[in-house]
Amino acid sequence: MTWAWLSLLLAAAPIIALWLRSPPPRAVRVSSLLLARALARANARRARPPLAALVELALVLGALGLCAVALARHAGADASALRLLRVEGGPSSAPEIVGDLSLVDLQVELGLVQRADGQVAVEAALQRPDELMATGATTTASSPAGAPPSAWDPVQAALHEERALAALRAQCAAAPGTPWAAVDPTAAAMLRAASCLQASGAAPRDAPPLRLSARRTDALGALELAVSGSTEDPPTLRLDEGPTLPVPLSAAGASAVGWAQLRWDQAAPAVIHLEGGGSDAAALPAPPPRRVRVGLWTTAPAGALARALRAHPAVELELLGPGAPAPAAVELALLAAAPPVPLPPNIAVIAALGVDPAPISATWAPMAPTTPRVQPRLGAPHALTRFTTAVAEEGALIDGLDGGTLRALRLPAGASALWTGPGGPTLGVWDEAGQTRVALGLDPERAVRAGQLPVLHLLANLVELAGGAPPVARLSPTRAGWFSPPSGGAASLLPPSSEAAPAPLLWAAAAALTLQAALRRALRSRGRP
Amino acid sequence: MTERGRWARLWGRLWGRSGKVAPGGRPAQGTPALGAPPRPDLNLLPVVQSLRVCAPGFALGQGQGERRGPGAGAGLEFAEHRPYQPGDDLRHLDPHAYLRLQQLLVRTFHADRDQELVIALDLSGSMDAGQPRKLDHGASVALGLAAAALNGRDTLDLRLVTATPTRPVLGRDRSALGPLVAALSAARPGGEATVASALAGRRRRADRAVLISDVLLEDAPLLDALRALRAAGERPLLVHVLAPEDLDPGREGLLPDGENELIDAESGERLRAGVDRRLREAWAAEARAWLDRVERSCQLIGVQRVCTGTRTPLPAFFSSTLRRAGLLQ
Repeated sequence: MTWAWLSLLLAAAPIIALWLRSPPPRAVRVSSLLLARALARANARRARPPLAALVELALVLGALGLCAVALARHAGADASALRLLRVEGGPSSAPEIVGDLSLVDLQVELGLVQRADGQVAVEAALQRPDELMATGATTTASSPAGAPPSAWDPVQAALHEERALAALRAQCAAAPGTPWAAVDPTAAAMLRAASCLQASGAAPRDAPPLRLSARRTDALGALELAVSGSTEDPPTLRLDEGPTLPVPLSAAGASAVGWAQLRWDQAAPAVIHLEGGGSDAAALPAPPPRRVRVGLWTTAPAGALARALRAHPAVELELLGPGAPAPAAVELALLAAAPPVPLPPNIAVIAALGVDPAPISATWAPMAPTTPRVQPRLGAPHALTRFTTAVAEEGALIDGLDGGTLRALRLPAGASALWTGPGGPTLGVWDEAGQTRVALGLDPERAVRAGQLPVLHLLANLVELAGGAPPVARLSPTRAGWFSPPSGGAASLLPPSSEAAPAPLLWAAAAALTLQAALRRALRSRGRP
Repeated sequence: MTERGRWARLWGRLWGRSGKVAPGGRPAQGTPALGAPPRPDLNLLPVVQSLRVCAPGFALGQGQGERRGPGAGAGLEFAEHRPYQPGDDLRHLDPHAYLRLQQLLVRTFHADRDQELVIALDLSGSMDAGQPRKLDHGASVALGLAAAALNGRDTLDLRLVTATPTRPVLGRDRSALGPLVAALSAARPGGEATVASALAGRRRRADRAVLISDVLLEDAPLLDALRALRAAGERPLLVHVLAPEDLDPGREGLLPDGENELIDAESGERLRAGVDRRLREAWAAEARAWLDRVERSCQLIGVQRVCTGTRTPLPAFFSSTLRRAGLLQ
């Protein structure tokens, strides 16, 4: 938003100055206008070149149109400084990172800290981009090739989220097997890039003899694993420094395939390595591809919360005004404003986000609200708090929200307090009337705007919880086709290029207006009275 | 200086807007302000001292003068003898003719009349332009003609063609020069005026009528007025006062290149024009065509026309141009 307006101001300032600076007509007192009028009539009789007037008009209208389109399209778009980094001297499948320069410490943590066991934690994190988003602030890792910090050189810089995503799109199309990571303070970039990263990271460039694919079958940790390749012995899977699991082969030889299913605590890092016969590793796939219909009751339809949800690949967002009746097919109700009365009973999950939770049977605690620069205590592990623990271990869970407040809740009996602040529970979940109800004592609008990762993951977990993550049917492993990038490539998951950045549109508008001013000046100098 | 005035001056300095109207070119030293009364050149009076206004034919004045009037009268110049008729003045009987011819003959004389000159000086806004002003030049011409007329003891009737009616200046001798100059000094140029209204109210026709104007008026009323003077036998003469800026504004530096807002000196009407070399050339060509149209119209009506530029030396104009035109002798 700020960059869009700054671009507009930068584009408009020289035009306004040019128009203002254009010399005013010099007033000349003449004896009579008899001769001037005769000249004007003579010039009027001559066919005035309509092309010049039409071009002038078209330039002005075009410039106005460009400005209007740019402002309308990106009125709510966040801008950020993104940079594409590359490791020099690394292997061919060296990861590349799209990072935010403002998060220097995050990039240092990701790429420059040597871990004792030599495990390429960056690579592991890259294979789980959703985990990367959650643990990026605290992950200690080294670059795959042990490259020093100076080896991370920027190869492409962009000033806008769309440009960085365009660069990412091009890279995904060129090398679909290369793992990727994207870190960005804006929720939209994170969520969009994650969908691309997960799809592209599942297909390694150099396929090992045994290929491992993994997919998550529900939101509670069910994993489906498949092995294909050329082997005679059953391979073994190792779940991220954890236990090993043999994979029985349904067929051996050159076209060996195997299949296994397990459940895994997803609060911990989960990278699945294939041992024996190959060294492949797989990342957890993206959240359930089924789109969840989310109804957001809010007074800020262009706010950060709405934009983040709109950018989520599995969300089919419907914006609703305060008190608006709920559509029939909504599965997740997010109450950031006054909810509908009564609450519709067919919604699976209802979450009161920073608003009075009284409609969902909770109340505010009598304690005065406090600033969110606190470290809430974490409650029992829950699907809603996935990916938030690692962040919480490092520092404040919610930190540095301008003007934001954290309020305590008085939860109904049987509710689970997931986050507990100084005055009491600040995030609670309970079941009531066949619905899962969630109350958050924090304004998520400010949190999402500030890029607070726990809140972002809370939203993603809410979406996944409302989606149900139903177990999928058992699949027959084949050698190809598992979790490979979609037919259109990973780039197809990114927004189309029609959502161009506002800066080119504004600069085009500025160019059009400048041309129009130059044309007008030229026509003046030709002496048309 | 007030706060507002200071800001206005700062704004004008920043953006090059002075807020003043250029009076056409760079003002010369001693140029009177716009709207100032005409300033006739009094140094012209000794030059025209020996000149007289001449009019072909008999003088039509009512008073006794030095011009031959129509028919017989009480003049000093012998005309003819005619037979005595009862009632004739016996003092006009010629005794010498009776002694020689034994007939009663009466001597008759030519009538000595004065002639009347009416001068109409255009004081419209268009005359209040030029460097020097056409108004000052026209007033000097009017003063010179008036002085010439008064030198010959002719009747002078000076009419000021202004937007507001003014009293005419009448006189028969040089004592009228003072009121004439005073009237000129009190006149206020500006606005649109008609010649017909200025010449209205006269009780008899004049021997000569002189119209001093730049003819930057609407054609029809001016031509109607000239046509009426011609029909009345007043032998009108049009003294066409021309300023070089009107004919070739580019050469005079009146219209610089760029966007100009032309302001009509008479009506205040504004017209924006982008000025360049081609426009100035077109302006000059249009000015030549306009002069041709005026000349053709005068010929068609039968009005004599003489041109004078604001930078033309007035002594030469009086001693040469107006004498060749038959107005002075």
